[in-house]
Amino acid sequence: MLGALAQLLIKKGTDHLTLELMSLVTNVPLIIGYSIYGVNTLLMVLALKDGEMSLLYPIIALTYVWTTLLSYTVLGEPSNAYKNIGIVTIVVGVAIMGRGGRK
Amino acid sequence: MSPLVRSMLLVFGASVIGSFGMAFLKMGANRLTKSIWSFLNTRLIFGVALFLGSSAIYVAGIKGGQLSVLYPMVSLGYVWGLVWAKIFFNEPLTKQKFAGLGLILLGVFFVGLGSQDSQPAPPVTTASQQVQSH
Repeated sequence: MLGALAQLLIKKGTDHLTLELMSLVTNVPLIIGYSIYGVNTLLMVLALKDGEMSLLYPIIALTYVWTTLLSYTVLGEPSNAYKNIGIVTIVVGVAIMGRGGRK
Repeated sequence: MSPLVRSMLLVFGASVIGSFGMAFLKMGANRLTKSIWSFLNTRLIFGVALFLGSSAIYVAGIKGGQLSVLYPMVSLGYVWGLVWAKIFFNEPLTKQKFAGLGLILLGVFFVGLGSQDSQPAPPVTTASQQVQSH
């Protein structure tokens, strides 16, 4: 979820990305985006402490689901069939992976 | 090199680097203690560095368009991750994990396919081509 928010902000940031250092440093959406990524990574590390990597890593794909839902609601992008099929498939995939973990 | 091939190579590289980043995060996470200072261990820092590198390469790659191709390639990182998990941490690879991963890759492909139209066209077309297409 946080990853999706970060992606959104970074995407917004790259919209007006130039190679000049000053504009990189003052690109607020990009900076906030990466900060959220930082928190995201911290949470991931805490999860990895007790969880299996082979299980947790693919679950990050849920980011695509949140990103898509956020782009529908926040950015007001029109919903489309491919995306909807995609996010449902990802959710089912993650559910199946979850069942395959160490009990 | 065509922009798409360049993008694919960049994104492919990013997926490999990112999966190593995750492996180092796992190694670092295994060494965490109750002390907050244990977060400053070399493996975690190296993992984060790999992630930053991978995300920079990813951003450069994704600009080349064709998200239906590029998104699933990012998710290839999950496949490498499964392999590293087996090799480095001896985690069991179950049928459910493979099946779930397969579905996730398929789902990501569809999301990429659906994201195609909302992407701005890559700046490879010449002005005359753009006039024709309008």
